[in-house]
Amino acid sequence: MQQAKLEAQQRNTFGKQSARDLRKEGGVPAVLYGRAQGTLAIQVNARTFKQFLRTYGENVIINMEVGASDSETVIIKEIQRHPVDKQTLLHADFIRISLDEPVTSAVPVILVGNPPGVQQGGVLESPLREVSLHCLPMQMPNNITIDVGHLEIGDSVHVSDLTLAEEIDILDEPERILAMVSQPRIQLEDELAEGEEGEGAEEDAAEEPTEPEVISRRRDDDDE
Amino acid sequence: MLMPKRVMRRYVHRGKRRGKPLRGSQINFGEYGLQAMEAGWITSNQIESARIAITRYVRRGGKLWIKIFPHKPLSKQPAETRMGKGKKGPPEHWVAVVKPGRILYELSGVSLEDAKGAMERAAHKLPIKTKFVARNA
Repeated sequence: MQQAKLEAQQRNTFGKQSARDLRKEGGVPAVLYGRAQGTLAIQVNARTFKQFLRTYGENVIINMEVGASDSETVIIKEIQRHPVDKQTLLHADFIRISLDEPVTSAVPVILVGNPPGVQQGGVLESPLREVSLHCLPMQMPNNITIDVGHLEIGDSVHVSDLTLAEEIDILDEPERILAMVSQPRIQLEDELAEGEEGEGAEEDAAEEPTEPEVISRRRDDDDE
Repeated sequence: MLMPKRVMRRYVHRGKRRGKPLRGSQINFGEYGLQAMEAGWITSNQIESARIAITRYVRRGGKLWIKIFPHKPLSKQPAETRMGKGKKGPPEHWVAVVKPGRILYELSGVSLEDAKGAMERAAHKLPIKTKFVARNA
């Protein structure tokens, strides 16, 4: 895991209105906690923090300087973003860590290579985009690179296929799929039309109800 | 057409459209998505129509996820019926309540240009403003 420096200021105002005012002024409300040292309300500069995230990502050890106090070793626990505009940061959680104690972190998975299955018309999927790892902070990788250059249609790479250092524990289940090449679902228009005709005939035969079953009414009937 | 199989009540209140989505505002499965920029009700017909628009544009390859479902019944008085008399019309449509930020469709396995074109055509079928979003953008 990379190390980087970030400056923060202590925050003395609380609540949603002051948080909104702070965001308007170009700040991001944040909180710092962990290691039984009490919780500290802080704020970081939004512009600086965005630049920081662009450079290092979220998986980074931060030497945080809060005001004039000594720097603390922290990692990012959570970042809240605006649901419509993902570039707008709403809040950040930082957690204090010790470099001698293991931490749990979500490490992004990067797929490299051009699978032959995709050239045959398959779709490369990555159902699990982050892997939870438990290890010492300095041993935590920045990302996990997986070569998918050999995947045919129907092939997949599982968590159990990962080869990491012995000290790193993988918390995700071994059978979870990291990358797979599946059959495309979207078909040609002609095939689609044929399929729809076939399905339509079946539906007519079964006489699909126009209204769903009402569960509460059925219960009332049972009571009677 | 999308519709629930079983419901607790035949009619539900209209509800409010304020607020932001609690979940479903991130691209979880595909590479590209269509994001709602305003609140609204999207009927099952509109969902299906937009799906067909995407499918026809992409033609072969790719995978599509529909991230909304019409859970809410919308009743309507039958044609040529006078209003009132205490009798409510039967559920006519099923709608999905959409808040700004909600991802409506996700697409993967196609090029950026194809995805943009497909989502643009899908957006024409929907009653709300939408935006094309990419996971790596």
